Amino acid sequence: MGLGAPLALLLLSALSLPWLVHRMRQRDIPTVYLPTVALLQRAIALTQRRRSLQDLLLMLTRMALLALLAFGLAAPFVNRGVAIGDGRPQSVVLVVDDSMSMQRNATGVNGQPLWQKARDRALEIVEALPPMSQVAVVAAGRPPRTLAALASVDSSQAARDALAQGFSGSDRGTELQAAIHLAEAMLAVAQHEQRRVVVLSDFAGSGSALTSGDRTVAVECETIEGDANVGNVAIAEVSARQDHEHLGGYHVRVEVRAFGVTPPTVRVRLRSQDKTLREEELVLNAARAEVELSLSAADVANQDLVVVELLVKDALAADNQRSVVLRDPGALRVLLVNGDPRPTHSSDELHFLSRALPLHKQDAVPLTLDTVDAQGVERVPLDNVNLVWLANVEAPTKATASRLLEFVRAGGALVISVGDRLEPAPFNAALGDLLPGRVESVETLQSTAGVDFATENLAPDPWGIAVESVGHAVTTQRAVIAATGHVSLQYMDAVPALVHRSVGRGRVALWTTSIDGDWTDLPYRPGFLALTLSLLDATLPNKQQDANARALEPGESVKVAIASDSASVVVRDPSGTTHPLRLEDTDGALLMVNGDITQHAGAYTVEVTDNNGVTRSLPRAGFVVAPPLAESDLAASPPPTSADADDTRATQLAQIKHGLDNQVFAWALPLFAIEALLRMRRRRSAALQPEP
Amino acid sequence: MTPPSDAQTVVNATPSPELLARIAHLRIQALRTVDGALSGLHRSPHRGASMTFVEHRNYAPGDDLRLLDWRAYARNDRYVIRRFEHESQQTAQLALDISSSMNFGNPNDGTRKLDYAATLLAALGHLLLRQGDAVGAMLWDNKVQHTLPARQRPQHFDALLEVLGQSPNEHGTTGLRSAVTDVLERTGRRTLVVLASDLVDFEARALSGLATLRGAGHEVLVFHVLHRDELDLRLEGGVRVEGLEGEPGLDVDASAVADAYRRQVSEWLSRCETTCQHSGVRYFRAVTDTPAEEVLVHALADTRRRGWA
Repeated sequence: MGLGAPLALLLLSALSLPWLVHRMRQRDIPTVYLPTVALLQRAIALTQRRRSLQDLLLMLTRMALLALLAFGLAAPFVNRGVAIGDGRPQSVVLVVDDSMSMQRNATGVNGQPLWQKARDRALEIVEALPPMSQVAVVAAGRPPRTLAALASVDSSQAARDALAQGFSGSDRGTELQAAIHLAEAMLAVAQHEQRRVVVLSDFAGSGSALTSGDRTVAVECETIEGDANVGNVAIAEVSARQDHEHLGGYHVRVEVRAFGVTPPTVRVRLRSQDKTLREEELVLNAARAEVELSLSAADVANQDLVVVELLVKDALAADNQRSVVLRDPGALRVLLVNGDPRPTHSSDELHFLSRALPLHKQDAVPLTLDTVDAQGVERVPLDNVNLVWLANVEAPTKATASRLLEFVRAGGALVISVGDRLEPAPFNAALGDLLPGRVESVETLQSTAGVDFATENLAPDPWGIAVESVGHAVTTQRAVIAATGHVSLQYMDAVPALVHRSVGRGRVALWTTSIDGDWTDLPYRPGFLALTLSLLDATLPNKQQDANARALEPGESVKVAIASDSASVVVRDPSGTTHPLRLEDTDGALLMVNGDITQHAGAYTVEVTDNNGVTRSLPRAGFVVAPPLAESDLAASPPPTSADADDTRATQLAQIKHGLDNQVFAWALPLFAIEALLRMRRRRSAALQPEP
Repeated sequence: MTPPSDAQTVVNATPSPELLARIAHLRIQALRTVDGALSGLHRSPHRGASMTFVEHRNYAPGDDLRLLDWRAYARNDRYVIRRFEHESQQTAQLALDISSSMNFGNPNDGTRKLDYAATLLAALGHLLLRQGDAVGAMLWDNKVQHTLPARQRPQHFDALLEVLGQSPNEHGTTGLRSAVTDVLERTGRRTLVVLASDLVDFEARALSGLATLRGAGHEVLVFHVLHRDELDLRLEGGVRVEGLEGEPGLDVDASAVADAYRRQVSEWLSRCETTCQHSGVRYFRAVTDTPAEEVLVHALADTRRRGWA
């Protein structure tokens, strides 16, 4: 700090004027004698107290004003070190790391989190930039984001606001190189010749050199130092699988890794909400430990997820907790509506489908099969169902038919196989809007040999159903339909056997014979399995919707399946904050949750409100965000250097003079107002003194 | 503000001839008849050797024949009774406050409080001596400093003036309570005690000694001597005010506190007057710019109005 006109400080000597005047007046005032001076003292005590306070305040205000004026006239300035550049205007993009590793504390007992240090340093740089400079801010957590576009540091507060209000720690991974590329793209339109990217990061886990693709841009790295003495233990992996030996139970596998100096053992705990389910001590061997904990059906009754915690004090708390969804990741859920349950179901539809469908392994997506009777379908929520198979079901009620229509329109798959419960008229009436053809009649073939399938003379199936693999089968009974959809398979007498069509975003397939042994021997033929699985694949174009069961990375976008009657949808993050989703952002029956919402690790739930105003949670739409393991390794890496050393060399700090006189004079204004107010009050109180 | 007099240290206590002439016709009479060995102008319930003729009245049966005026009967052929009034002598003690605060005022124009108070007491002493009372004097500040025994002789007036004209005590502080106690101890039987003082003693029970004096059977009369500058605080602007009895000095904006000061003075004067009245002490305020004879006339007229004369 310095003064442009230090001689003006001589005015400060005027501060002694009131005191000098007081002394001189004291010396000059006459001395009088009064026997009743005690009464005078009482009068002074009664009248002068308030006035003395006013006088004192007035004098202090005037002295402060005088001091401010003298100080302002002395043209004070501060020497600000320009952290970058040589003091000339320049264009700078600040790349600030907000990844998970930046949540650890800086060196010292009361050290603040690194992201706060980085933010403060960034603000310091912004304030130190010469006038006319441009500045922008990019967050380097995955994916890199522009927090403030390139703008003048004088006229725009965007960078300051973005750092002060829009920047905080997150559980994201780091993507410094991509962030630098983003910064360079922003600098391509910069107005100054000096263009710089300043990277503020702990560089944990990013040992590779950072490169600049633009030689006109200098990349400078500043390491935000963390406390190197504190080690870190992290949950590396958590998975849950069903316990096939104990119905409803689960096995939860936990893998732990340690980085740096850590204790030899660590306790791991499984809890559901506030209830501890399991707790076990793990011994770290070569900085690793692994355990599989079993949970009974009672433990996880009505629970969709459990939380795994490490009970340890280490550098990062964020990676000591992980939620895991209690379902097979990526599972497809098929609801089989069995219209013909028999006392021994070794020959009904359930028997054959429950053996065929679980063989579905395409894309390594497992399948869960739930079965209800014809009446049960009215009660089962279809929000989380991927495919409904109506097997030998008599005509559904109007309400059920309406639900099925909505289900398909929203992207669900419907397969109908008929049987002896089929009555064409009510069946057509109930499902007419869905069916790929009108059922004319139920036909019993006279020939005891029945009729075989024929695949010749058919157009290629648009859904890719593998009808060629059906082979020979004898059908003795069938529904005769007037097809309106695509005929994928027919009988040798050209009567359609398999017809399908798209309805809304979903698909419907009609199988004109039964899938048990009553009307056809197809279920006993090898081609049955191939046809069933092919049919499954063909009618489930949206089967990826349950891919959310895997853990996501913080900041990763995800699609969630929503109900067709959703009027509004919100995502509740681990802290309980709700984020409304825009229904117009749907992709089919899927709604996009962008990365701004998923930046923190933990379990996210999806809640929908239907058209009737009823709010409910969609268990299978929920998802888990896990902290990136790479961020848990806090081993200090040397500050990366650019391929072009000249560009990254820190410029010699330049000093610029930043005048403070405007601020000083700005302070004088309220003091003037205070002085005027005090003067007025004093005058008023003097006027109120009664005349002797 | 009139400074205290340093130049003149001898009190000018000789009453002017004009003053003495104007008050010559006034007679001071005590409120009550007092005991005394000597008879004077004051009525006494006791018979004494010295009797003064008052009037004649017609004889009535039962009258003492010893009081029949035979000479009148010889001249007028009527029976008349001679009426006499018993006379007694009163003793008066004139107590003058000579503390430093009484040194306030200009001695050249007669407004110094000490001069004024001494003049009042001297005039009163002259009257009392003329009517045959015994008059003594005491000078006090916080205790009695000088005394003059009470004498009846007219020549005693010179001694009285000599005592009242003694120098004031330059460092004396007013101790009203202790001084009155001292006066009480030095005063004999029922006496007229006349105090002339500025009563500058702001201790809570300063005036309680007057009640004690009155309770001992003495007739007490107080002249509260004040200077006009004390009453009005005729000052302007910043001044340093110092007391006369060692009080710490005050730097003050006189204009700003004048009104509050006057209220304080007014309350103080009321308090003094009320306390005296409650104690049966006659209280007269004497401001030094008022002619002393007016104060005396007022005091004696008040005495007469109350039926004591």
